[in-house]
Amino acid sequence: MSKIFFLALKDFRITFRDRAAVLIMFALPLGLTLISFFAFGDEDPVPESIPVVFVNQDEGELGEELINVYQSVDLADLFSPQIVSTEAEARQAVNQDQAAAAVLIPEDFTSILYTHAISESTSELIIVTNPTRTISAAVVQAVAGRFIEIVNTSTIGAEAYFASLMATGRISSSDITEMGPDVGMELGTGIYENELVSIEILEPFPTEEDVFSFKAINYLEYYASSMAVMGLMFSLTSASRTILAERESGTLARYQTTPSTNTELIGGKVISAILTGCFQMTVLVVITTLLLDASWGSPIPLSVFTFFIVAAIASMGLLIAAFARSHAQAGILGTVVTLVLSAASGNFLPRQAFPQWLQTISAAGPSAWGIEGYQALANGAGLPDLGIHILALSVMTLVFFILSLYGLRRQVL
Amino acid sequence: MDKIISVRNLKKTYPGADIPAVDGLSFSVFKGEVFSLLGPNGAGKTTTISMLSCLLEPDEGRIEIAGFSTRKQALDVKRSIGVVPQEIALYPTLSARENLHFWGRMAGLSGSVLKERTEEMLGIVSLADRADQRIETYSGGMKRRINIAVGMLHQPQILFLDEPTVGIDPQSRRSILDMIKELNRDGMTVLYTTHYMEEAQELSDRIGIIDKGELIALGTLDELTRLVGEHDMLLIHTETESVPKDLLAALELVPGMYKVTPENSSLKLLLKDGSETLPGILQLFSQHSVRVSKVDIREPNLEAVFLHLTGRALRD
Repeated sequence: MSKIFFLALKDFRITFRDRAAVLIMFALPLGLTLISFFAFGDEDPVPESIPVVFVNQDEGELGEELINVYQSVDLADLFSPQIVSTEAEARQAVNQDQAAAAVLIPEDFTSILYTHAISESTSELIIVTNPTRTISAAVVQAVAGRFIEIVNTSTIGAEAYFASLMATGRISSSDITEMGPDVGMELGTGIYENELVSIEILEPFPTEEDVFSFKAINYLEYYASSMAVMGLMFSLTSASRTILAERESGTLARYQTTPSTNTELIGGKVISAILTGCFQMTVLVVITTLLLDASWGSPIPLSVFTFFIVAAIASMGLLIAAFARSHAQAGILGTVVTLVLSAASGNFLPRQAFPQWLQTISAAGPSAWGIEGYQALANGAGLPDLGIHILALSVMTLVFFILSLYGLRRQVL
Repeated sequence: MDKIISVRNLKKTYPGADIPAVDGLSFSVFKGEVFSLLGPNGAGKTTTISMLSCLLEPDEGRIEIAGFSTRKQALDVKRSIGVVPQEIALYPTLSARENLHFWGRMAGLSGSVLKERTEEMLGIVSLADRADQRIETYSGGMKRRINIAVGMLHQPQILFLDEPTVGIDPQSRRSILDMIKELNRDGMTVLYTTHYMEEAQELSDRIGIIDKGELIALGTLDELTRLVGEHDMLLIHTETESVPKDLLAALELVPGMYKVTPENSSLKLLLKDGSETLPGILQLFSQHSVRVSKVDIREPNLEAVFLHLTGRALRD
């Protein structure tokens, strides 16, 4: 056991004496966090077709007209509208990220046109927005806003038309009363200031169990965690392949002439990688918290989750080393795997914006789970909420490690 | 004398290779002696050391070290040996002291014993004053000395040194050879591989000459030179770029000539009564218009033995 500790300590010491490795560990994720935040800012990507759900409770024709706008030929490429029957279904679609927004058309949406002049009442079109798709939701909102603007303008125009007929004596108040007593009364007073229909923008109502997934994305936190995961991928694949560097420099052969075992050697490498990863995450969490005010959630769940993600990535690095022919080849493979997995796992753009098939594929690597897990932690999730993440990472660790042992025994040890 | 290393019919062929790297090697090393394996590059010396130090599994044969089988009791064998590999197997970003501490731990040392041995070794290799500097800042000779220090840190019964003086300056080489003699005086058994016959001659109690994976001769220096018999070795340097073939043919016919080996502008001649035959040989050079710049007459040595046994110079 003590040999494993000294092997790990030696590797840990060597890693932190390598300036390039330290830069990759700390400067790269911090730099990329800031660059990504400033480049993409508070924006989410606009997918090719924006999913939007409608609940039409309107008994008149105006609600239908609003939906027709979204279904029109001109906007066919932009929106994928879907009509559901209840508000709960609509909210669920947004909560589950199946829609960028839900448009709730109220019962009095059409009738308000006729009753406004009498009662001064207004109606409210409710748009529930998806906080992870701010741009898409804004597009939905803009189209609805334009529609409402036209409705308001037309109604006001009609009312003004009646008013001018009365002022010129072409019709009388009693005519208006006949055409619509309430309208006549309203126009008679000459007061008209309020819009008939307004839009209320709502974010979804979180349920207790889903609270973390509903919070609006803080992009600084998002990039801090995603870039930290990418930094882990770089540094841990690099740490794991030191076994190949040792083979090439002759220190592995020298080790094998000492009364020590290969199990101790691999144990030392794994512990060193885990120590390196945990230390790296600790530093990144402290720096981003102090300097960028990023939130990472409670320390204990954060530490436990970090252990699992670090173990999974370290095992993946060992797997790459086990099947590479040389240290240089492992370096290239590690970089390619890191970049591809990072891009597919939402390192640069939130993964929810990707097609479903890509989201499914990226779940095969540890970074997607890592990014999602850290996001959840930042939004207040606890360890029980991350059960599936921890399970997935544990399975990956086990599978990668077993395959690594097979590969290392076959061609390295 | 007690045998401490016993090697029997050792064979090893690398995957994909046509010829064996080691082919039926058998020898013994006695406790407390310096035993050298002398041979040109590619002769199979490093492969032999690798099998002896449990790094390579032999295809055939049996090795016993300090009474333990390398096949069945590898960990016991490893506790008995120290290995100094041909390359510098150290961590360049760690200091000499950190390297010694680490390798000492791997060899099973700990606590005050490890500290004492580390300081002692730093003193022996005369690097105590630079012990806390990183290995990457050391010269080649200094690295070699630490490389050797690591191998003998845990005071093994047997020390394997695989060409430890390759590529270093004469002063460092001298210091390393003196260190090995000192270790041997203290009772350590040394198995030394080299392609420098001077080192084998200076250090060894017995020498095994290895070529193409086979042991072609084994004995003390006297026993080996006796193989050459009454022969002397003449080394003749000429002013031509290469010695003409007709001159070589004429030299072959000189009475008492045993071997003629051209080496660019020089010739190595193995012959009986070199001093007496020399005037006639120089006349032949003159007849073939080849100007001689220098002549050395050497007593029989390992170079002559190798030439005698293989027909090739040791550095070929």
